[in-house]
Amino acid sequence: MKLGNLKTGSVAVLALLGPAAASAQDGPLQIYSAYPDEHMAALIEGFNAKYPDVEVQVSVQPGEQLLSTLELELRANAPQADVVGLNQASISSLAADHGAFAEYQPEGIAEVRESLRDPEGVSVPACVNVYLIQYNTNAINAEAAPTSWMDLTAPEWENQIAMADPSSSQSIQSFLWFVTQYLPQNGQDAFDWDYFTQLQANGVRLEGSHGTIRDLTAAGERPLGIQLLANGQTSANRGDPTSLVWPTEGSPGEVSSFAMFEESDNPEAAQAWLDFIVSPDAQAIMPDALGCAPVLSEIDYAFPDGTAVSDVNIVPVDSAWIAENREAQTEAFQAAMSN
Amino acid sequence: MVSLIGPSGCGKTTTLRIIAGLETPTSGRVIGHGNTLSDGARVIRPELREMGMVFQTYALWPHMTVFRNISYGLRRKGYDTAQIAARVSEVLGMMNMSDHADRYPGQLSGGQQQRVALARAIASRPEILLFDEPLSNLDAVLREQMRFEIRSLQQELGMTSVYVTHSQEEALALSDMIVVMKDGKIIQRGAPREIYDTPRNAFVAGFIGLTNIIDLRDVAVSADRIEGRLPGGGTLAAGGGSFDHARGGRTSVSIRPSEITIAAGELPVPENGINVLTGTVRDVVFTGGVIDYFVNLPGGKDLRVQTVPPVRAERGQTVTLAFDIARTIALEPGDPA
Amino acid sequence: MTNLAQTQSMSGTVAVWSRAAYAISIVLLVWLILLPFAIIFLTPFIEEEAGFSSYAEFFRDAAMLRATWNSLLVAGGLAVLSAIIGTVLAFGVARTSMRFKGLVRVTMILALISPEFLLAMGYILLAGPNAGYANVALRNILGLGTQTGPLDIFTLWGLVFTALPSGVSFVFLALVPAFRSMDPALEDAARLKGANVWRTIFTVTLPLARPAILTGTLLAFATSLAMYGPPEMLGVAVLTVSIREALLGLDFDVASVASAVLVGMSIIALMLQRFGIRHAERYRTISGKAFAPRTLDLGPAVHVLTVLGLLYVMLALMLPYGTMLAVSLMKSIGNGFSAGNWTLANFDAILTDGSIRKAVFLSLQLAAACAAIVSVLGVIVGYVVVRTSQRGRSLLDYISVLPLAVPGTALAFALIVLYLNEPFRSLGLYGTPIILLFAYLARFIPLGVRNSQSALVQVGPELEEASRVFGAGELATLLRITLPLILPAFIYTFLLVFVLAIPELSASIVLRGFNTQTISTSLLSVWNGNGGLAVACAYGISIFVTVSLIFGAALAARGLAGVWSGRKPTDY
Repeated sequence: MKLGNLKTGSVAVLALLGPAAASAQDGPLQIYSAYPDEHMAALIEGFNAKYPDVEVQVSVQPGEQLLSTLELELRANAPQADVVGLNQASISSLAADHGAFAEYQPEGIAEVRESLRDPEGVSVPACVNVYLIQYNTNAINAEAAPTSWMDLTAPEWENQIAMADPSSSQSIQSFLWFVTQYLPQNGQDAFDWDYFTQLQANGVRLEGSHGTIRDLTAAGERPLGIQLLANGQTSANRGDPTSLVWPTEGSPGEVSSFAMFEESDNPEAAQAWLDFIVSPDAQAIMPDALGCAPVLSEIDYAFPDGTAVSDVNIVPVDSAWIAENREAQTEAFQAAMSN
Repeated sequence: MVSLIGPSGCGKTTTLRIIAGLETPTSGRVIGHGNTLSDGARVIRPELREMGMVFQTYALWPHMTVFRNISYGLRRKGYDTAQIAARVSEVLGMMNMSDHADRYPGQLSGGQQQRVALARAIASRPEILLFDEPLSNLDAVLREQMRFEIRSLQQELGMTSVYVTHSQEEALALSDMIVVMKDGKIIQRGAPREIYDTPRNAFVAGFIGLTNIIDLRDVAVSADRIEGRLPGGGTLAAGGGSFDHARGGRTSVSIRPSEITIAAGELPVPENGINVLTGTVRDVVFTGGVIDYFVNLPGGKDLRVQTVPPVRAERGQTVTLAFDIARTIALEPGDPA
Repeated sequence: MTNLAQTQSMSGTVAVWSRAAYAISIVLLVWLILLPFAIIFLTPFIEEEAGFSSYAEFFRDAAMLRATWNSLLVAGGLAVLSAIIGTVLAFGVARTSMRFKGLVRVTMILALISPEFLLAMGYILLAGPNAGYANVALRNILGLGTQTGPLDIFTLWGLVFTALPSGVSFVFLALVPAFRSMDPALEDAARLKGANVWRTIFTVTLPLARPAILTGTLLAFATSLAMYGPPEMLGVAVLTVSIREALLGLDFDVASVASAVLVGMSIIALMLQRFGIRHAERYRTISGKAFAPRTLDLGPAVHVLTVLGLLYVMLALMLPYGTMLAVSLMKSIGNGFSAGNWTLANFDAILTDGSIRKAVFLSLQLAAACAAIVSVLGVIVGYVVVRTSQRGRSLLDYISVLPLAVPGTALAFALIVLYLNEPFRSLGLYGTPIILLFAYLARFIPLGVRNSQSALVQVGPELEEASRVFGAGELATLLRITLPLILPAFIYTFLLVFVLAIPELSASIVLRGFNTQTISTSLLSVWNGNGGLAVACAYGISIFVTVSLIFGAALAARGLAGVWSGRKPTDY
């Protein structure tokens, strides 16, 4: 009867769960990533040039969803990957609840700018990803484009803007922190939760991920996006009719990071990955790969639109504060949006 | 060949299925050709009973060709390929179906399917052949034709057969013995003519053939007849059947419509041994070979009379009816049919 | 002849077999269905000990009340619109001389088997308020000076519109056979009494079709309550989305209550349906022989039906999938239909992407394993229910239809709770494909059991009995008669479950982990930026074509089953 089929079917399913071979720097390396495949691809290519025997597998989810997936897997005491790629604040908050991550100091961590390093020694900084405004050049002329975050509340942009939803995206926490903590504390009194209430009144559209927003902007469906630089990079590579604005108030920069699990099936490969991340080789391709600024102090860097790092005002976010206040911030955001 | 006949729900099909082994009796024994087939709950499985069966719905397997349908049983019984081919072509030949061996049942007409079902049943020359209302799904013309085919086949092969039907014509035409059943019980058994000529009670009389049932009062029994009064006056005598069941001076008698002669006006002096009644013709129905008269007796009861043409009386006429006392049958009490 | 003493009691072996089959079925059904079902309701009482207060909290929460109301509004609006459009089109196809009947039928089938999130993708591209192609075209045609509108798919009514094609086909597919099997004499009677065509339709034809209309409509209602993909993509807050969001926030109490409310509403809808068809025999117009369905002459009105049919085909098939196909061939979606913007790179991307390949492979494996187990279990359960007199067999029947009322998100939530807690946590199934398999099995068991039952009913018991009489034992009969006869129906069930399980989304997305990305979750991930709209469209078109081809094979298998059982293959 059908028993034969059935058996091979479940055997095949079981085979997927098989343990990863664990010898020095070969075998599969499984990475949970909040960074899209197209960004990871360049990094993996560089990694494999150094470690050709490691087979890197990536599973991508938007940050906040990945956070929840990890939370459940850690509760089941069964993390399914070796390495996770999330922003520093998210890894910190996971590490605070579960002792599931292995502390590891990669070779070359000393070269990383000190302000970006994780004091707990759990997450390894990969690059700094900054927020800016992306706009559709078919719909909006360069002269007419907004120049500041505050411009987005102007009536002419009604129903034109999209931003990420903190119930789904982790990165947007950096922007929330920037608008409600950093700017008010640095003399910009016009910014507060009320800013989001104004955006809501202006018909801002909330989306689950920055990639969706990038496509909505490129298509002209939402010609203005509160966007991460990495996605502006993708648009540029793809030839989308879009351009970027560096808002005058400055850009919050979150630290994209990686960390490895204590129970990794392939710790050698995981450590090799973390070593690679902070190596000058990786940092050199970081702007093209993750589309963000390198963390090594000595690398010169210009953004895709030609802007030099030194010409823009990047505000490094307070990852520890965000990790601690994540839920309260999300609730305050929802309250501001329903006013 | 034995026929089981009775109204639906009388247990005739269940009996057949118990013989086939498809149903397990709670008690009692089934013995066939000297072998005990079941005794209480101990049962020989149907596949070991070496029987052939023709089902009401034919039960041909739709995913097999005619050849494979017929050879199925032979294969199970371990015949070799050559024997199987010979046997299948033999039975298909008997059924005039030799050209259809490679067809699927879905491609055959109802009559052809019935022939294949029959061929399948006799292919392994079973000791016992079972028929479960095999003709009930055919139209009238085919049914009659198949009836004669089954009869000649059965006589040719001489197999013990049990035939379940609710059609009196099939039972009368095919059987050596008829068993009339009702509510799970055997009411009467006997040769077809015996059942027809001397039905035991009103149920059998009505179920096998047409009949008139007449109630009599003030009954007197003598050596060769039982005599009583009609409700509307006059007397009637019955010379056949059972005389022992008259109760409280009452009994019922049966007379077949075709036994009665009818004549307009008064008949001459009655002969001895003949019942004579008078009545008024209420209706005459002409159906070709047979004419039905419904004659109203003085007591209000209709008697049905059948004759061959020509028409012997018209509506409204007063007629005399005469029928043989010996052909008038006294019945045992029982539910009216 | 065999000695009586050597033979065993026939009823004895049958009883052993059916008892074993019953035991296996009940254990599996309780484990896969009843246990998660109970967990949905019990979580607030076990997990957090909040008990009934979580219900009170739910009904005080404005957002939850709005989600509940939205769910009802979407399902209700969809049901009403589906009933009207589905009835009109079914009537047109079954009883009038409208044109393009075949095209309408094919569209109905495709709308039902293809995953609903594909349509959502197509409609977003068409009716996005600012840049949707339909909106741009309408603004040009109507000479509107605005930059936005007139259509906006990102609304509650946009969601209803997105789900409409599948809702309409539920009603349509339930109604066409009903309209066909109607005895024309009933209508003739009305006409003879002087009623005109329209009066006859409204006083005789439609009332006779009422049970079928009700069945299709309530099915559409229950299905849209359970829908997850489109509301998520369109940003409409309904209960399925609330369940997922509660789970993302690890708020199990809220997830439980939202699930319970949703399951409760579905159960009421399904019970109403049973209640509505309880007097089905009163409406039965089939008396064993087939009527030649008569075509009613509607005069020029038939052209209205033709136009309506074509409109449906355009909106449910041509426009959304045509748009997706066009976008799938674009380099940058922002440059639109311009020369030099065309490429096959998006198809190349989905064919070469490792994680997509892995997801496709996993989905095919899961769907195959699920289809195999469901169709075998379906035969076993169907056999016990239809062919044996095993006590408690109706219990099997009831449990096996229960999942019809449980949305995938709610089921997935229950599985999370079940396998995150002892005793099942020790099995280590959380985060593995096995837990997805459990979810798929529970979702598709109703389909398998129902199909197998009807297949078994169509195999007359006398075919098996004939085999016994002609010398085959129980096992030989099963192998040579019963199984071959239900094989086409078995293959049909297998392929149907296979084709529906491949793009399963609502449970998969809640349960996804590293090794459990499926076709639908990876497609959604590509759509949500991890690859982009154009690649997602290429991916979606590929899924659509694959699913349609497999379903074609399933229909072929069912055609064979129909020929064997002496029926004409149903021609939708």
